[in-house]
Amino acid sequence: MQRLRPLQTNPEFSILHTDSFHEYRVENWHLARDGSGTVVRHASAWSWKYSLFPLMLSVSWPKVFAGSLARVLLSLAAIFFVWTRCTQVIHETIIVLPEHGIQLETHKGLPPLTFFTNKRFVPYTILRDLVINEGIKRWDVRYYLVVLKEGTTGRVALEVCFPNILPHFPILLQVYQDLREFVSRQVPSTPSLPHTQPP
Amino acid sequence: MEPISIAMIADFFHPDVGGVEGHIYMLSANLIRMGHKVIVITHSRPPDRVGIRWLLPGLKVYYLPFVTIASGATLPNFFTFLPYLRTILIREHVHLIHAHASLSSLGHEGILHSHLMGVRTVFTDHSLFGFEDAASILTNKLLAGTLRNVDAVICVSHTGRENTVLRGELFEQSEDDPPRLVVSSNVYVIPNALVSKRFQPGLLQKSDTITIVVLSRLAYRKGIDLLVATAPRICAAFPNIRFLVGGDGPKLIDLLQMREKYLLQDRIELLGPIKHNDVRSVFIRGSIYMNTSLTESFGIAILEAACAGLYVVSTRVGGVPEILPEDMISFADPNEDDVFRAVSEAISLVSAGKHDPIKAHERVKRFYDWTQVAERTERVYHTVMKSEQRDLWDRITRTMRLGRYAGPIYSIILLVDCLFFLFLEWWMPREDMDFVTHHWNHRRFASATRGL
Repeated sequence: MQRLRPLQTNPEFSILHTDSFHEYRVENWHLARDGSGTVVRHASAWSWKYSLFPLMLSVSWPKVFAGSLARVLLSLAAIFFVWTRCTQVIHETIIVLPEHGIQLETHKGLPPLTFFTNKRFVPYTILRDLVINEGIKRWDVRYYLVVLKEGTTGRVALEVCFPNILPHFPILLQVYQDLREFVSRQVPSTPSLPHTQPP
Repeated sequence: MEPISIAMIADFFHPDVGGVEGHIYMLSANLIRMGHKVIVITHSRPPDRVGIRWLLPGLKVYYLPFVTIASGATLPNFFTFLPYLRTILIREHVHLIHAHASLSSLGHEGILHSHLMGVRTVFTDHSLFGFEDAASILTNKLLAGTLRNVDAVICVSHTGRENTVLRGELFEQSEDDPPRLVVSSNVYVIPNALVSKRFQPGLLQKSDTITIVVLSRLAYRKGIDLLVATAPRICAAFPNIRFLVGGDGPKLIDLLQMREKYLLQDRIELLGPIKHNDVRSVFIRGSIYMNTSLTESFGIAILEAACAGLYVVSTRVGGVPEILPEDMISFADPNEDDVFRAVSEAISLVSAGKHDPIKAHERVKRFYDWTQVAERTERVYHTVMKSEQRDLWDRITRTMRLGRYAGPIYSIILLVDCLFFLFLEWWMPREDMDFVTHHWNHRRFASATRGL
């Protein structure tokens, strides 16, 4: 039961195969794309810069008049700071349970601890299809992998995989190719097409 | 020519229906067939035409979030398009952009920004514009600013070429003595085309009534006033004439009033708006097509009617005299009496049986063909790709020569554009973009679906 990292250019992507489930995990860091090989982290553990904030808070708290608006704002700022630091995305995974369905998870917290997880399960009975498409996100255009499922009223609803990290295309292609095998085996309506190879 | 990646930029694209939209689509389809990669960039039509969608035959369309103000055209601005354009051109590895239509601000912006990414530019102008009124003076100056540094300009008729050269100041002082003005060598004329299979003539029917078909947007510039003035005269002079008018617009009221006034309800039939797919079925109900436009840069409707076997009567304006041979069309000056004379001539010709629809269709089929248009356009692209890109200093000096006020204004826009581009290079570095490595490959799709 080893964690494989199949893509050399994207070591943040790892696959775990077990007898009961298969996990596709994307961690919230990547190699710098200018070829230098440095690691660019988007979720950072407690660093010395964060300690400046309690320092500033403890200095300014007694200076401000008790019960004033400034104290309220300071406490709100402190709560906001703690909240943003503790809800950083650590990793997002897709867990495939053969014979049951696909589970999309997002783990948030203060690295390396996980405080919150968001799990969305799509059973095979509802799952219609798996698509890679492109979308506009502010000024950028990104690829995204989406699971099409039958919504509550019969209309098609979308579940985006890896919605916070939005990994680049090589990772999505690998996940898509693997997931298609499971999906086509379990969901009889989706046709099984031969593997796509880069042109 | 080896395959390149082309981006068509225009505000006017499907799902809106029109001449420019159809032109862009057919040209893109033919270029894809010749092996190039084509994408289209346009503005979104919420709620459902948003994001990135695909059209047959492997045409990717980017629907970008811009607000439209009037009839599908977005607000003119100079900087808001740069971030999107930079991302799209870099990730799709585009070599050349082709902007369409003078009224499309996305197209103008595309031309102004592309040089920052090292991408070449081509502009196609589809319409004629005036010179006298305030709106024309302003828009012509905007056009001159955009076309100052474009790599090639394509017009759809020789009249259109004259008009665009004068409006966009596409001429230079030559070095002879005394110096005279010479048109730039990068202005080309490539006409529109039509899919002649869609406009086959109908079966010949022997009958006494001759039907005149009029199919256009019922607006002032299409000369509906002329139609309103001449139709009663024609109906009075020729008792076996019937009119078939299709289309919609602000001048529909005038037509209805004329019909009421002269009691011509049984002679003039109004069909309302017609979908493009049904146009041929309207054409084959008639034998003469009447076009009374006051201005027309190419006149694709006239071509479609002639292809369907109708004899054409038209006002001699704009690019209309260039599109058909003399024996398939009767010309008139844009006044009542001359239009009446031309229509009478047409009626006598058709009654005498001197016009053969089948032969007319065969001739028009050979004149205009989308593959030819695509080949000619490809040759323009080849010339552009071979030529050298102007460097920034050259662009600035050329822009400063636009005029005493327009020159500095446009130069400031150019410099701020460069600064914004440098900011974007820092804010969204190129290496972090999600590059496109897989594009639609029709051969693989065909082989993959062969087993099904």
